[in-house]
Amino acid sequence: MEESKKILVVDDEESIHLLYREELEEEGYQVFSATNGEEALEIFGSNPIDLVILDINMPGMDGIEVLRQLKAQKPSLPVILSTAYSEYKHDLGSWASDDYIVKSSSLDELKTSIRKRLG
Amino acid sequence: MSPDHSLIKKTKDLLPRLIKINHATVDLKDRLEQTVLLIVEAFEVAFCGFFSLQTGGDHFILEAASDYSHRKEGRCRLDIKEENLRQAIQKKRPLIIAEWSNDFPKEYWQKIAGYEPRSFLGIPVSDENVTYGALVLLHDRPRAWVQEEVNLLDLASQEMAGMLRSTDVLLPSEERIVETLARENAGMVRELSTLYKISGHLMTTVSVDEIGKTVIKAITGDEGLGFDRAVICLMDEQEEVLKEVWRGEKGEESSARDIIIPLNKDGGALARAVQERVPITINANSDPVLSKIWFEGLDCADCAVVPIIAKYKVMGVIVVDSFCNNRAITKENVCVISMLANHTGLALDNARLYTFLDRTNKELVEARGLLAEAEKLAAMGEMASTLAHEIRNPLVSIGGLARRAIKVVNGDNGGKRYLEVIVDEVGRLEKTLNELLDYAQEPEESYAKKDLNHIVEECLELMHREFEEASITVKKDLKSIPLIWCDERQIKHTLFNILLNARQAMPGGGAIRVSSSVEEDDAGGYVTCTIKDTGGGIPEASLHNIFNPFFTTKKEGSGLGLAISYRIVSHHGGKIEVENEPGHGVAFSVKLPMNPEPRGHNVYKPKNKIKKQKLE
Repeated sequence: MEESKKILVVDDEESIHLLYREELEEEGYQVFSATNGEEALEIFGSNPIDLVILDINMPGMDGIEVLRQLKAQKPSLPVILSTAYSEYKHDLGSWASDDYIVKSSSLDELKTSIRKRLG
Repeated sequence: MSPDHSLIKKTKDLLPRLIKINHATVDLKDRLEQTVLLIVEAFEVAFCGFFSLQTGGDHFILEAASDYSHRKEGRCRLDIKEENLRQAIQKKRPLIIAEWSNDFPKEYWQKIAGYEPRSFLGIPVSDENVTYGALVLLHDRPRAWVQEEVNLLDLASQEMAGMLRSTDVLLPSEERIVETLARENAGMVRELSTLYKISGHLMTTVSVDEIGKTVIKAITGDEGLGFDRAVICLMDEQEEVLKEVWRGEKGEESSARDIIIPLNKDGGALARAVQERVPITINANSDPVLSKIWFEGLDCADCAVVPIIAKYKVMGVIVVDSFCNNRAITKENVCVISMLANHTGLALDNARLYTFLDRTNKELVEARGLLAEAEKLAAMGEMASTLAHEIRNPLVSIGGLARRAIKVVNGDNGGKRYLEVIVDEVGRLEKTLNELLDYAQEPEESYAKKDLNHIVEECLELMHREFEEASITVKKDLKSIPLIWCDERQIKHTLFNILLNARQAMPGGGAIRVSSSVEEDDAGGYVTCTIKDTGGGIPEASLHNIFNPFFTTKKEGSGLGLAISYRIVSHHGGKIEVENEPGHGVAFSVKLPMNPEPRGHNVYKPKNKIKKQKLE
């Protein structure tokens, strides 16, 4: 059996983790959860992560800094920015993330984006 | 030629001309001067003068002379005490000296003539009662005075006596000066009081056009300075040219013609008056630009070109003439027009200042409005960002988990229905939140040349089914309009909002009329799309609120639709106009500018307050 793809979800909201984990595991992915930037980098350093879903606004190290460090370690890593507020959308290009999604109670858009990137 | 023949010729020439002079309306001094000039010409002598015998009968005053060049003073006041002449006159007999001899003093006559006279003829000028003086002819060579010549001159002197009698008595010179001064004074007083009236009028208006028209009327009107024609040109500082702005004839203002005068040598006297800041008097025929200023090919006369100066700045020129009677322009005329020009300059300057102040004030009010709007948006931006984080995350969890719960709830025991309600309501809240964030955020812009008609058609296509279901008929009247710079997505959003409002205003069906048109103006004009419904219109009390965010009359509405539309159109440099007929319907007109880059530069764009950090 093919080993399932590993997705790291970085968000400071516990309830988001609960939702994302259930939904994504249902899709057959293995889900890792981090509630802040430091934790995310730690998990990324010790697990072969295939894709990262990254919230931007977090206490402490913000999502953009996490993105910078992740891409510095592995430029080919797909990262989907996920945020409550679409104001960063203009800067998508300069941040070199792979997609940008505004959080919604329907995860259809997110799932489509993941499938596109992980095949 | 025999002396008789030449005499007949002289008589023929002289007398009719004398009589003509006598009946001319020129003043007495002019008439006397013309007479002595005529005599010099007819008798081919070197000098002719008229001497008046002064009260007391002991001296003469030279009143008119054919030649003044040898006299230092301008006026003819050299007294002569000439006994021989006086006696001759008193006896009413001519004094004839064919060739001067030493027993006849000549120094007085030499002074008057400027050379040594060799022959002399004095004829008394008198009638039955009064002796007025003497007509004196001098010649630089000995000359025989033929009796017929003396007789003819006697006739001339009688004619002169007639002139003098009709003017009663020749006034002593001092009195005449006073009289002339009084006449001149009266003229000046009249002109000054006209100027006073005009300047009073000029200082009470701030309308540039009214100032120009008043000045034209003042120069050419009967009540004014009495010139026939006037033109006022004003400076165009940007292009450095003069432009004709007002013109008038005989108190009637006529429309200015499209005349532009460069401020170089091609500008003729007008340019010169501006550059040298001095009034110029010139015959229009000798200046190609001036003959263009007046109607080409028609009479041209002497013109005065006077610069309008205010606060060291030349604002334009006034050009006047009297083409009807071809009257020459005098120094006094120029003086009066210059005074008027000064007043005009001040009045124009005042008007400009006022206009400037007025415009600045309006801009200030507008800027204050924009600032208020901007503050509102900035506050809303901040609120939106907070809302987004505080509300969206829980909404995502609630909605997302409710969706998951629906999947795991077995059977139809009611729980599933509750969860469905939760999912729907969360969906609605998320939609409102998105709209709110759309409004608060700076829209992403993507401008291109687009056909507004095409955008309208696409919106109608999208709404087609909805309109059909609601029994709403759509009538299109789309005129051919030019392409405009716009963000298609945003404009579609705007029209869609208005169409949606129209649909919601007509729950029982109705009609929508969509039209497009072009409106030209100085700034490049607008293309307009008007959407008119039959939904009963907007209550008067609500009308002023419809573009305010969160204002809604609908049960299910965020109140952001029109607020967003308004902002989008403002960003495009356009406007939304509302024509409301309470009880009938309402028409929204979206007007978008046609000029190439109508990006709303003056529209404040709120800055996001959250710091952005870029990946290096």
